[in-house]
Amino acid sequence: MSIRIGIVDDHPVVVGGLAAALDAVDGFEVVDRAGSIREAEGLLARDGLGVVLMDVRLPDGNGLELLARTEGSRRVAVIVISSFETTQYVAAAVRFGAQGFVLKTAPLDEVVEAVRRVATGGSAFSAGQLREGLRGPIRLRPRERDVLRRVLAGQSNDEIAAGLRTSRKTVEKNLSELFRRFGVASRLELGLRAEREAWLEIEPR
Amino acid sequence: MSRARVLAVEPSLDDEWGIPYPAWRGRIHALRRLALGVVAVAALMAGGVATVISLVGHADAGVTLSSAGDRVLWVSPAGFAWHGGVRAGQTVISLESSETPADWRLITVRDGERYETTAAGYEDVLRTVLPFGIAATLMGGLAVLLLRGHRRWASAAACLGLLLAVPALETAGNPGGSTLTLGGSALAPAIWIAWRPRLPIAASAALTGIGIIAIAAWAVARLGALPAYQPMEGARGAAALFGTAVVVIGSVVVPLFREHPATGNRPRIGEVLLVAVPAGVAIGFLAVTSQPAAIAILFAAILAVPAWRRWFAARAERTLLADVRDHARLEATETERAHLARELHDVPLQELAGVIRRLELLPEARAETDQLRAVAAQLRGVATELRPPVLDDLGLAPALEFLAETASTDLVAVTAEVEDRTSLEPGGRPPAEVELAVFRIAQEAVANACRHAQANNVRLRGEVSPGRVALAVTDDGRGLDEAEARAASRRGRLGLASIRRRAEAIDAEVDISGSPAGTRVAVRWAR
Repeated sequence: MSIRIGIVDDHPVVVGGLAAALDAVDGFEVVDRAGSIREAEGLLARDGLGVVLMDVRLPDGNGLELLARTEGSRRVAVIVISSFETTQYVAAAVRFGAQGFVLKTAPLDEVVEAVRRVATGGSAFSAGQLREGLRGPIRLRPRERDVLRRVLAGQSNDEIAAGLRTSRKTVEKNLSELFRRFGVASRLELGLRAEREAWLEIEPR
Repeated sequence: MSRARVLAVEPSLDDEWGIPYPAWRGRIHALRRLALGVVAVAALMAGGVATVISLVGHADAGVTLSSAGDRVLWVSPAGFAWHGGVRAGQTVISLESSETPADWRLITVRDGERYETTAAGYEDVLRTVLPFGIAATLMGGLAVLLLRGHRRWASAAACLGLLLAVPALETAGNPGGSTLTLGGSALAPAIWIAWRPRLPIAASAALTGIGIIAIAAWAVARLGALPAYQPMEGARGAAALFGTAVVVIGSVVVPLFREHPATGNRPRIGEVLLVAVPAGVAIGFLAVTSQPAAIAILFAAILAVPAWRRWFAARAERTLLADVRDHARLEATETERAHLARELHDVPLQELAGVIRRLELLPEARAETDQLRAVAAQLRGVATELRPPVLDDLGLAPALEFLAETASTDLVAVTAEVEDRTSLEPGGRPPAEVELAVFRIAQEAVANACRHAQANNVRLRGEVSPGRVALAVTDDGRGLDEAEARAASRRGRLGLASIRRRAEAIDAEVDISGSPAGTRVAVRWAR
């Protein structure tokens, strides 16, 4: 079963080039294209697509805005493709729930690798991107990292407190601070995001 | 208009970000108008009544009489002063009037009966009522003028009204009042000058001329020992006041209180007092002692005022003109830059991306593909330099982070802590021109800090929401010297001036303050 890909970009040369290159890859199939936000809205709501590659600048709006708007509702994984790559773009892509970020002129291997990882449910942000792009928002204090590491290991608050030689109350405080900062409601959700976005790979502050 | 001031102490950010124009200020404005209206009506009524009473009730104003043997032709209907019973048709036997008008005595005859009338106690009261009436009328008139928005005429009206009041007061035998009024009429234009720094040269010269004529007339009368010397004393008092006020306010206080054209800084109040108080005391003392030498100095000083003003006005005008020109250029440049950056992104960068994809399918073109990638990177750099794409695509707060990131070097650490309360949805961000202006201000401030101030740390702190932007750029460099800033702006390094202009263009407030401990540029905008 091949990976079904959608491309959102308003520039025919880019779409043509990307589609030709990806179609030539074994197991990839470009099945859908959109050249505007309006068309992209339909594309994101459609079933049967594996991965969507989406441009930022579209004639009738901003692709990142569309991501923000459809964050809870879309059924397809998105990789942002852009002419510019700065930490702020990567951070926005992460924030709005994209699964990857690739520069338009990046080597094809990178694009292919990103599509593969995303299609299998993974994240295509590189460690470097995460380190840079998430430096500001997801930079944990050493204590928070310790707590998070133990949460990921499945420990309870009491176990964490004992392991860190601190009180249960402190651990609860650390956790609720993390919940608040990242807008998550449970330790499961926190763990999933931390895993997906590789928070522990980001250097501590 | 930019509202700049020197801040001695850095205010807390909470103070800094207070809502700039709260509703209560609108209410205060309405209340002020109401109060002004009440003052206008009350003052006009009180003034009219008081003036009529005092004029009608006064002997000299109410009775037409001359020397002994004449008949009293007319008596004022109120007849206050004539409670002794003078009527029209009585023959004047004698009229004794001393220097003090409160001391007169009139003896008349009617039908063989002799009447003697002396000044009544309330003559004095009448003399105080008249100035009050005139002052109240003036106040009412001024209030009306202010209420109708004719502010520029208010001072002129006050000056003219007071001048017109002088003869009335002289007639009422109130030399003290007339001197005060003259002094007031002399002060009015001086206050006008202080409030309106762009007073036309002609008006300034005319006002100065009045003062000079008053002094000259007094000098002639005194030196020639003319009988007119006595009333001239009053004029001299007014002239002295006028001269002192004009010289001190016009030539010292106004220039000192004006904003510096490049930095917008004003001197501290202490500095102004340090200059103005000794100058005022010296000139005032010389004037009051009535020494001819003092008068000559006053004369020269007053003559110097228009010259000073002319020089200053011309300089201000040049700055203004340069500002307008710079502003137009700034706008044209920004439009051009945005256009170029857009073009670079939309055409060559996209074409390159497409071509690279196709070339990649040819293994033998690997080197060429990499070359094209390098070209694309260069184009990206140029486009970013022209106008950071982050600003357009993501908004001001990420753009400021981007700025901090790119401006940081091994020598300077630039950090950004900007609270972002915007969203990418339509209407979720401040207007594009505000984002751009604040970004350029930050860019300029950071560049100044790194280039000229030799700072080690530069901090961008602020918040961005759709209706409000606040940003403070602080550094720990060697601070901002006003003379230096002026010199820099003259040489065309218009960093601070351009910050000011950009803030003006979006109607934002900007504070630029410096101390040896560093510089702080704060900008605040609200919808």
